[in-house]
Amino acid sequence: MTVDAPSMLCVSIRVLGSDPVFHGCGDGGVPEWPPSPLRVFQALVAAAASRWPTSEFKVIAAPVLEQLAGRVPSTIVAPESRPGVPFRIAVPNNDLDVLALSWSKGRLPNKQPAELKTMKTVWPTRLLVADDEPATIYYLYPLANVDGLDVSIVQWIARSVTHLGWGVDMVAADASVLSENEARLLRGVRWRMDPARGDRALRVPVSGRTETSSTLEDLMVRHRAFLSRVGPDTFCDVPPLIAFRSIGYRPPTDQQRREFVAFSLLKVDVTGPRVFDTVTRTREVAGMVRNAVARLAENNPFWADRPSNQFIHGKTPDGSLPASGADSPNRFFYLPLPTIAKYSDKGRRVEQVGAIRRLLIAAPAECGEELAWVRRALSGEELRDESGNAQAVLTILPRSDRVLRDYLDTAHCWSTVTPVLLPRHRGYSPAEAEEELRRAFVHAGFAPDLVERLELDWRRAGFRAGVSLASKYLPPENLANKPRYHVCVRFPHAVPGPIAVGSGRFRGFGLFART
Amino acid sequence: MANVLTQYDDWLQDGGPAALILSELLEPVDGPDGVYFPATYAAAEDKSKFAGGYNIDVFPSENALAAAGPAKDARWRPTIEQFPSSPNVCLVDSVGSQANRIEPIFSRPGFCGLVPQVRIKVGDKSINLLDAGHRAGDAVVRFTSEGERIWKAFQSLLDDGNAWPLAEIAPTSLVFGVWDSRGTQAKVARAFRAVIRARNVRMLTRSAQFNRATKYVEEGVIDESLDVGDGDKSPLSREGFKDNPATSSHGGVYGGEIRREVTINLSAIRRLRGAPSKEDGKNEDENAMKLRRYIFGLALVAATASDDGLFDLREGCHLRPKPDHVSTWTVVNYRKKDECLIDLDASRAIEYAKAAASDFGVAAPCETTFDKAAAEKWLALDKKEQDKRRRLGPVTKQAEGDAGSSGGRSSGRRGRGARPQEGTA
Repeated sequence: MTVDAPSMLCVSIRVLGSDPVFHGCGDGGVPEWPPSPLRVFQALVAAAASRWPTSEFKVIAAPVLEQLAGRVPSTIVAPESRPGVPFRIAVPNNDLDVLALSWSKGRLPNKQPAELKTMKTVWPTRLLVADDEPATIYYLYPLANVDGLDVSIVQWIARSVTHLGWGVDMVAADASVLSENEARLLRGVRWRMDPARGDRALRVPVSGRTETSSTLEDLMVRHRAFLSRVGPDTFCDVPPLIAFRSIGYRPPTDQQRREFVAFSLLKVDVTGPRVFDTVTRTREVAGMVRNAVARLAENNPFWADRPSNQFIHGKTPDGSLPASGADSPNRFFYLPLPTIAKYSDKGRRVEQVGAIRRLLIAAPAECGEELAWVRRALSGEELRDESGNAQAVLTILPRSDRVLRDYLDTAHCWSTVTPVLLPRHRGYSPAEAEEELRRAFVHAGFAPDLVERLELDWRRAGFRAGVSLASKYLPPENLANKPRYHVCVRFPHAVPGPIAVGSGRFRGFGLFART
Repeated sequence: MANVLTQYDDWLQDGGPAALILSELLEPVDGPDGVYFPATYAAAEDKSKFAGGYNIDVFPSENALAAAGPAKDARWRPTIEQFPSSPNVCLVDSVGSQANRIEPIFSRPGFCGLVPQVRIKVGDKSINLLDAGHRAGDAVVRFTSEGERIWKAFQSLLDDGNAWPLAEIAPTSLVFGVWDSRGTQAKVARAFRAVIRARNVRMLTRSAQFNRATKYVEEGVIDESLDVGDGDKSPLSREGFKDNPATSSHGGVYGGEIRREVTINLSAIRRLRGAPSKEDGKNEDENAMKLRRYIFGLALVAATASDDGLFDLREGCHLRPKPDHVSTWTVVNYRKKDECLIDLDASRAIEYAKAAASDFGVAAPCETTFDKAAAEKWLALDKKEQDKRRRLGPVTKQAEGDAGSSGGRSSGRRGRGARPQEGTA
């Protein structure tokens, strides 16, 4: 299929107004953004219901809606947003009859109209768009997944949608078929489906083909129950909507999340901290940690069915070759952490990168079990050099440690404490170096949309006091010929650490600390 | 006349644009630099999120945020006090407040012929339905003979999607939206929305000092032993016998661009339907167009009306349209670029609305009386019993012991809409 061939069903929702605002909230009354596919589906059902009376709805709209319910948008393109300030308004109770009764008797009512109110919390989400740009959300469904769907009916339904969210959230909706190129040109933040992101889950509808009950049927049952909840003998609560599921969506500002375990490095006799020179021994410390993990994993039942060659050693499954991080992202990062000393010098605040006294082992967020094992296994374990001599002992470091915060806290600006090793050597021109640097950020898990917007500075000298020239650092031997630069990066939004970029990122190189 | 009546028909049929948006700039009556007082709001339940006051959302640049340092916690939000010169949006008059100001104009001379004037006599008072906060769903009209008509109108909306009966009694409920929360539960989304916001304002504070008329305690007028406690705990403070400073309270805002924005949702108006043709012998499409023209005409009048009450929002917030600024209408299309209209002014709106109202047929003014006996019987019931009977029929009929007779429905009757009949899903 060419990039110009129709490949996406696009349901678009334009929020009307020059200061576009959305009031829909998710669980716990927290603003929901982007609006979930389930919310959009409910709006489509309501719109279809208002457009076609019962018999026509059943024939025309219900089959199409049922088909759509079984599909999930692979991407949601939405304007940037900021949660507004929540505030409360007084909504009048609809009980003027109580006052009217007093008036009709010529008496003063016990309460005045102004007192018959209930407080309601309003928590808007403000959409950030340029003045001449419409605030539109696009839900993109791969066309192959909606094969046989009558798009013209979807369009009729979509154009009948008038609101999404609260009653004040007026919208204009539409549906169309787009090519890949056209979809790429849609402006906004791209939220891509990521089932691993349970913390960013949005509700999506389900169809009767895959589930016991479909969302459409459940909505109908609920509507009937709402209208007839007052029975002749009893009052029946309306059952909650249960036919849906949740799927994670990740914006490009969310780089692949990592979890971590932190350790202190102590002398073998545990009389004090064990210190390693950052410039010359980063690779050695990372290597010793990896070997310790490998030693403990050998013949350990936990790793019996797990790909230890890949996860621990960063090799291909058969253990014969190094594996590229882009191809095998589920593996440990061994990150020796230089201490960043902070002090005042004649009234000026100074931060100086020092020696290695700590260690971080990180992995993608879905590798929690492996990290838990490492925490248990490595605590109290020795680090040994190539000759087998013990060089340090590891102890668990609490997350509240001050130095850890320099590597883990959220920040806009970050700069390297160890140089980035570029993936490829393509020449010395700034354009080539920049291209490789941005490629390195993509390999590190940052979305291409985000990487395009990074502000990058790079040079051989460091951006921090205490770091040496990039050329002085001893990289892993197989990466010795990679170009190395110190880098300072500014993200459009604050991002959390740990951040390690470049070819040596699993072994302590390309490590960033917040500025 | 025919041209006036049909000039916007393309917008009111399938294939028409999504919405119309009217944008007008306003300024304080004492000039563009005048200070004005936006609406104030109660604090959020979590006061750390919003301590109360003006609703101003601030959008500092990334540089400004970075310079301010890391956020204390995830709940932190930038405020105008922290970022006084950052872009911001201030809510001057909310959607609900604008609707409550605009709807009553239809009871005033020049506009009252466009909609039925339903007055509810309650003792010595007379309440126009246009002034009732919940419109056709308001409790005050339930206990009247008109309440029975309204109940049937809502039920017709639920059963067949027929909005004609409701438009005959309370057409502004279709313009501004309504929820019959005390009866049939029918809901109609608003087709009209107006809001006033200001961009990039600067906030002021003010202080004041109350000086008592004389030194009551010092001059022996009031016994010293009564001068106990501070603030509200002091009886003398409560009664105005002590000086009282009020410092750093809300002092209004100034500057920025004040914009009133009105949206008429044409898709919502296109969804309005009249009676099915078999019911009254008329053409179904013809009924639908009459109804849509009527409601659209009312929406245009609501958008373009000029009335003192619309801009005199509260003390200290008297606005006017900015001189030399021409309000613009934007036609929001689904696929084509938005288009601009500049010739849809108040006079054209009223001309169109009158033609549409005449074509639809506006009922003569009526007065109905609040049924005290029915209300007393109903209010004497416990809540459970009330909830049982709520959907059985108009409350006045139930008070006569006639629940389930004309106008009443059994609770097993299915509502109108997208939901197929039982057993056929």
